[in-house]
Amino acid sequence: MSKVFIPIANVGKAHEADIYSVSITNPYTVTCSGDGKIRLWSNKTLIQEQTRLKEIVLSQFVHQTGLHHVDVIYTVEPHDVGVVMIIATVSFSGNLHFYRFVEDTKEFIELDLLDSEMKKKSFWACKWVKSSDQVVDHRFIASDVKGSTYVWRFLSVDKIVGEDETQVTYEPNLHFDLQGEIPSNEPVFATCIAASSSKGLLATGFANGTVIVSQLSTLRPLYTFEGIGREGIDENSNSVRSVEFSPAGNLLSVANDSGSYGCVTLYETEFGERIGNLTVPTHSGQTNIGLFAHNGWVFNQAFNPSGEFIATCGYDGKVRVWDIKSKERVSTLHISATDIEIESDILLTDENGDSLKTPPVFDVAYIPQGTLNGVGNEANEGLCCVCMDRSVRWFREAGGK
Amino acid sequence: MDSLADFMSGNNTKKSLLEALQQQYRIVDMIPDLDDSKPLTETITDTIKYVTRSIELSNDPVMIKLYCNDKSKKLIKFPYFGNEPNANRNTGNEMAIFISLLQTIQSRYLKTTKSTIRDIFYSNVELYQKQNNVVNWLNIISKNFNLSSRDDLNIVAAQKGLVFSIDVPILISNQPKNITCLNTINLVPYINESSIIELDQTKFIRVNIFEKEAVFNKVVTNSNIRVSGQNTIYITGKGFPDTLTKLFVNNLLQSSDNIKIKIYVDSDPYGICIALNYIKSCYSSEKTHLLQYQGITIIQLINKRTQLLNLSHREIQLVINLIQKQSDLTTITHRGITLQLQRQLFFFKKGEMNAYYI
Repeated sequence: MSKVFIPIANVGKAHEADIYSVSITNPYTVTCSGDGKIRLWSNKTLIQEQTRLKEIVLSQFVHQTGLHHVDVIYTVEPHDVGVVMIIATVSFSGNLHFYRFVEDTKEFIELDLLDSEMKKKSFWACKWVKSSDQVVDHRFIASDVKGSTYVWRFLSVDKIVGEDETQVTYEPNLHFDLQGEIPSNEPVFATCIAASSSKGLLATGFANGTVIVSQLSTLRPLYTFEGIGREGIDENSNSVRSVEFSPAGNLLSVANDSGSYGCVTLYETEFGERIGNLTVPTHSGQTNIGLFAHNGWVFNQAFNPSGEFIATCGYDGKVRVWDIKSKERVSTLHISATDIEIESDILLTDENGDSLKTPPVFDVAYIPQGTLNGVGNEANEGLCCVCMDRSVRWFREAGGK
Repeated sequence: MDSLADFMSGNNTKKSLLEALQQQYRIVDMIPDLDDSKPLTETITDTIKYVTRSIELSNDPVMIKLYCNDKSKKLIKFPYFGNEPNANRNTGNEMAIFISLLQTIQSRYLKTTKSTIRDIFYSNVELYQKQNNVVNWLNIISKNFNLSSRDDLNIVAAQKGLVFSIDVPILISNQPKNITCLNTINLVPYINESSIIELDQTKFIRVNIFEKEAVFNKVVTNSNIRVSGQNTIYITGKGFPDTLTKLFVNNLLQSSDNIKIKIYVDSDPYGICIALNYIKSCYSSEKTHLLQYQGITIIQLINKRTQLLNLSHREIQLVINLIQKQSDLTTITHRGITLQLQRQLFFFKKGEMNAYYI
């Protein structure tokens, strides 16, 4: 069974440099770019304001070296704290930056959540681990270029116990509490991280092809997956680019290089066993080389909220949607620089003269139901991707539920 | 000779006793000669004469006072006495190096030939020990003689860069003849800041600089060069360019407005460093835009399906530092370089330009 996705909005030259990451919250799609800015695109007005998206976008300059990872937590916190939306982003200088976005005033407030010792590290990937359980804290995880992974608890209040020990009051105070570090044995670039709050697991992917799955509560490593990809190829060609847990936490999807191709492998998290690969059929007699998902590196992946499907994006300028059960692809979106609506915003070459006609897709995110506005959009899930031609594209599934 | 007891009775304080015990030096003060009319050879001959005479004929130890600039002085003592702060340094050697270099300079001067630092170093490895010692001492000597550049001593760095062209003659104003031959690979000619390269102003001239010598050779020996290489000068600095190559590129840039210089380097942080090295050595800012970083970009290598290597930890740090330094520059070339650095780090891969020219 195949799925059809319809493009609903797009914006070209959305940033002045490559857009490396995208994150979806209910009100906004958040992008970050090499131009050092984060931009917030309002999900509710995407279609209505199609022609002036760049005029109404909310923009915040963060760091001049450029930004490569962004993740947003959007949550309603108890004890009168209310809606909290915090944007975490990492700059190419290795610094972590946090901004609280206040929806009413459209204001970005910079937060200082890390201590001075932590600010000296060179961070790479970052992710919020949102907890749906009131008793479990939200967490924030980040990897650094030396291969260590850091975990913080995110707390929105200070608990103040009165003198008689019966009276407890809560003072709103957004802060981090460092839980610990998963150190790396050797200095290998920790390229990607993911965590599952429901299963209490954390995965770190490395440039040499290793994935380490650890327990979120104790930060003890549980499994190490090594040398995924083609056999007989050394550590340079199977770098892991993305790890992602399914929403229930029972599956871990690992995207790694296989030379210049991209593979996606699924593991179950109970015993750390490999379930299978997501592959496209190739018309090659040498079946051993045909186990790839994209005809280029896979940069990122995203599960849909129910965990039935996963979207992957790659250097080949395609976004693929796969059925987890059958491990077959159900949809492929071909991205071309020329399908940007406003013609003057089409970018065909970059500053160095490299062609962007079929732009590599750097990040993809699932848009949950009810995020978008308009007929047919609200009831369906959607996808958002950012590409090397500095565009952001939004799609929604065809049909209705 | 006085005994220690005599010294002690003659000096009442500790300070005066120490002073009395200090070795008395005969000082040769090398105050820079302000009289420009005197030729350098004469000054050198005189200096050698004074110094050698002091050492040979006098019983006193000698101390030479050299003036590096207005503030700092360099003292060479011979022979070496006592417990001095930098006791590891063999000061006797310093004197030998100094005189030996002066003699070499003088003999080269008389022959009006140029020699390389490397040649001089190899003429007495035991004495000089490191090539850098020769460089340092030549700098001291040239500063002491108030020379505008070290090259005036007729001792120059060995040429490293190569240059090739099929149809662009490179004429240099203050050189006796056309130094580079057409259609053969030449070493970058010896020039200095005052040299002017004369190019045909009516023609548009392309200059292609390659980081790798192998790629340079491949391009210039290609049978197609007769067609594709017209009005083009090819240069390689063999990795990080030496001063002479940079000076040559810079002079080319100054020589004509009808020129475009393209730099081709590896797709790794060192490659970018090399490109920046050329760009930064360009001293007239209004002409920097004629000097362009041209790749090889990581995208070109990926599109060729080259097997790329992971960036090492050291290279990651280098990329981060380079991005930080680059980020406040906004010209189109610098934006291209920043973009390239960001992509190298985002892909965490590097590749060599050779792969592009297979």
